[in-house]
Amino acid sequence: MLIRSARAALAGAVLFGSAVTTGQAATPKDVFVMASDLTTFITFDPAAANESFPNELLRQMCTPLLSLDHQDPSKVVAGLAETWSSSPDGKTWTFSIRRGMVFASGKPVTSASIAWSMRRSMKLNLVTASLMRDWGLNSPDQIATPDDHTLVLTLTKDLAPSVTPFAFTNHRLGSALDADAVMAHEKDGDLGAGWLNTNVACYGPYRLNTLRAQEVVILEGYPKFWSGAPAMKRIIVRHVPEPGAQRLLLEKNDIDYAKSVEASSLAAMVANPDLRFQFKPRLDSVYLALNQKDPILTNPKVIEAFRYLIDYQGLSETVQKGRAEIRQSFVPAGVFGALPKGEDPYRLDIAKAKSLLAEAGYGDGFKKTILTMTNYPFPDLAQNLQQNAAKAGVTLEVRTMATAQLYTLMRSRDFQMLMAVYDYDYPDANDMALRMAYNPDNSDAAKATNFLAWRAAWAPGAWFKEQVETAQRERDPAKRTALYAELQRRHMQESPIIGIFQRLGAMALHKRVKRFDYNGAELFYDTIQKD
Amino acid sequence: MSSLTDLAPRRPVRARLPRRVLPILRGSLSIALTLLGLLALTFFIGRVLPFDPIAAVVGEKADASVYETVRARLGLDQPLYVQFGLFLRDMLSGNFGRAIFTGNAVADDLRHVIPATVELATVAIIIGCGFGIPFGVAAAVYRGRPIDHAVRLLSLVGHSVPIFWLGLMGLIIFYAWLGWVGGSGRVDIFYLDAVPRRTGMLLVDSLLAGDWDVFVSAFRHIILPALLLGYSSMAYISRMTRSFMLDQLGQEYVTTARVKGLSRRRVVWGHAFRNVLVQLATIVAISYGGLLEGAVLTETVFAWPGFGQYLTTALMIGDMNAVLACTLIVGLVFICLNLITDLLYRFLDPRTR
Repeated sequence: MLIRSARAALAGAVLFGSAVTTGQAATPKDVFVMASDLTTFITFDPAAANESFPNELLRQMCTPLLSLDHQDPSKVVAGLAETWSSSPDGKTWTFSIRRGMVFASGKPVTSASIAWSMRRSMKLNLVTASLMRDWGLNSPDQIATPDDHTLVLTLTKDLAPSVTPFAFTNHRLGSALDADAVMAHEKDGDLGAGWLNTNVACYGPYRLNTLRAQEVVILEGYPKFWSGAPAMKRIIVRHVPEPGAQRLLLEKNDIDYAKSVEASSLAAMVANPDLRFQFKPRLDSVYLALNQKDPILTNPKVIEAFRYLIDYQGLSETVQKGRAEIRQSFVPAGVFGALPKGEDPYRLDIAKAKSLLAEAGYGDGFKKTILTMTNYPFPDLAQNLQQNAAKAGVTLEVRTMATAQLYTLMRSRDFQMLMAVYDYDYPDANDMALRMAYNPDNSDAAKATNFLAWRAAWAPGAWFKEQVETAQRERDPAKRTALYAELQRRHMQESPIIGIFQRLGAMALHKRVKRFDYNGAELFYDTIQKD
Repeated sequence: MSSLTDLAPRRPVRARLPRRVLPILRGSLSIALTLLGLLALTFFIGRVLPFDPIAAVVGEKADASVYETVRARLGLDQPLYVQFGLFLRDMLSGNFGRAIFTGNAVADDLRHVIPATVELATVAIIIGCGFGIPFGVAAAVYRGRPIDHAVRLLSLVGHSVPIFWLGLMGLIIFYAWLGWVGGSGRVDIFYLDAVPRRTGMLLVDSLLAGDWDVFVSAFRHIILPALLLGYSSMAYISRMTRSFMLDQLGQEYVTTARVKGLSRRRVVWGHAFRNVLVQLATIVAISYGGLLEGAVLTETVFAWPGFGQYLTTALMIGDMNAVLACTLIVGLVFICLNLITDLLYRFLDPRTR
């Protein structure tokens, strides 16, 4: 709470003092300096990394088999593999690995390096192993290396060939670790996991120079990278947890890029001629989940009433102005399978919500608790819903908590209502459909925690299951699009997971930064250019 | 053949121990038990709180099998008393284990965060005493006069204005507008690691290395957070000094001294002030101890990589190795400060010698 008030005061104070003098010495031309919150830095191990910012840095140091296009995330381009093809059944994938790549140790990067990294992840059974299972990569036998430059992967899942390549754009799943460097630091059979917490032994355009959590991270351009050393010889990330302080540094010309931008500062910052902004729709959904273990919240009329209690329009023009767009369907705009923009049928309508609640037999209202995260904008969103619900006679108690704590309660399905955001992994409707509309087994024992439907204890039924599975196999793009459209429309009517917004990623850069590629899903440091 | 000494009656073991050793043993045992109690309490409270370090490690996308793997790897599948026992065993061998949220050995992390906090706290307490004590004395001597009101107002502001607000205003005015001080962090980014690390305190290390540029940069960065923390301590120290001094100034010996014709300066500083030194030492020790625990909000606003931020982050994700090591350190700091204060009493108060 204190920290939150501190942040609010901070934002206000920065606004008050926005007429900051500039013209100080700029950062060097070939060094890129950014400010970010480096408070937690659990691991740099590709088998286990799950935090957003450490993962973004890891992506710069671990080039994946394939890459998302720097501008258009729906396009897959070459990475460690120059070419790739699939068998007619879409299950066997053959990658032709680029020649001439070498690790910092001088050892060549071969298909065996990639295979070793993948098998290591499977053996450790950490986050990446779970990702692999999602794609049908369950056992080391599914990975073959007929020669140094050919990698063959056989997946068990029957997926449309347009979907599967996205699996290999994930740097955690298909990058190359220097096995000798890692195993030299193995301790108690951990396959080097302890060492990789704070070290990187991948092949990519950058290498790790310094890592001090809560202080600084420095990446260094790797001159032996296949396309040569990147223009920025060094990337320096300073630990500055407060967005207000980040803004001061940016306006004072001490950094090139501020990672966190507060909505309340955005307008003033955009007006500053020394700064430059890049906005991209993100690959995510802000949603409200109603737990289907709660007898009141399972009532379809109650679920529908909540759809009318969210002030989509009002919030998008105030709290979320410039930071999010209304998106009630689960596939974000710009992604294959997304519904056309504007197809958001619900508006705030308290009278309608009231009558739905009365029809459901809850004319006198009820009391529920809604959990959400402490960070912007969630407390504001939840409080807005709380006010609207009160007008319809429903009393909501808002409880904010640290994200890790919220995950724990989600995993145990121990909540009544919950407002959060889900960051998708890849830009195809299959990912969103699996997370939002699919539940392999709704029993407590199944612990299908990586499916949001399971977390909300929602058993979508046979139609949804069939539709998701058919769509993920469908080869004809037009048919696939139609299947996902139908799925999303029905989801918007029936699901207790209510879509609200798709967030916009805002990058605050100094105007001397001429190029910083961001496609909404990933940032690319190797093509940064500045004056 | 038995010697004469063998025939002499044996003195009990207790009596054989030198008279000074027993209190030390007793004291050490009581300190060890206090620390053990502190650790046990922190550990069990930490485990009862709804913070789940596994959730922080695996995020929201891992499946149940990964969750169980991490649970076993972190030893969280063991009964609580076993987990605590393992922690104690490791700790006694000088190993605090690994901090989940930094991936480092806790001892390595502490080697970085403690000097940063000690440096900031020391500069702050020097500022706090340097201003707080004279202000408090002046307020007592000129009680009810404008100077007293001015000091009261100053302390009230120091006590009541949120430090994060003051911090940001300070940054806007002195860093962004005037450019007199450095911004966030301990040193200009291009001076990072510019001097060899000896104490971990940049002001000291840069002086030892004779690197004036780094010293100036470190000084420009520390001065604002230290002034703010010092201001907050000053508010407390000046109020307490005033109250102690008023007590003394009302005593008969002060009146006697005045009647004897001693100068006001002599009466105030030579007689009254000397008698409040013992109480003041306690107040300063408490303030310094508080500063050494780390000031989370100041550290956050100024991006100071200190102990407060470290402990708070560890608590938020239930990273018990880090939390317990920090608890132990805080306990030790207070015990040491107590010991130092006791020693100071002996020095300052002849009656205790």
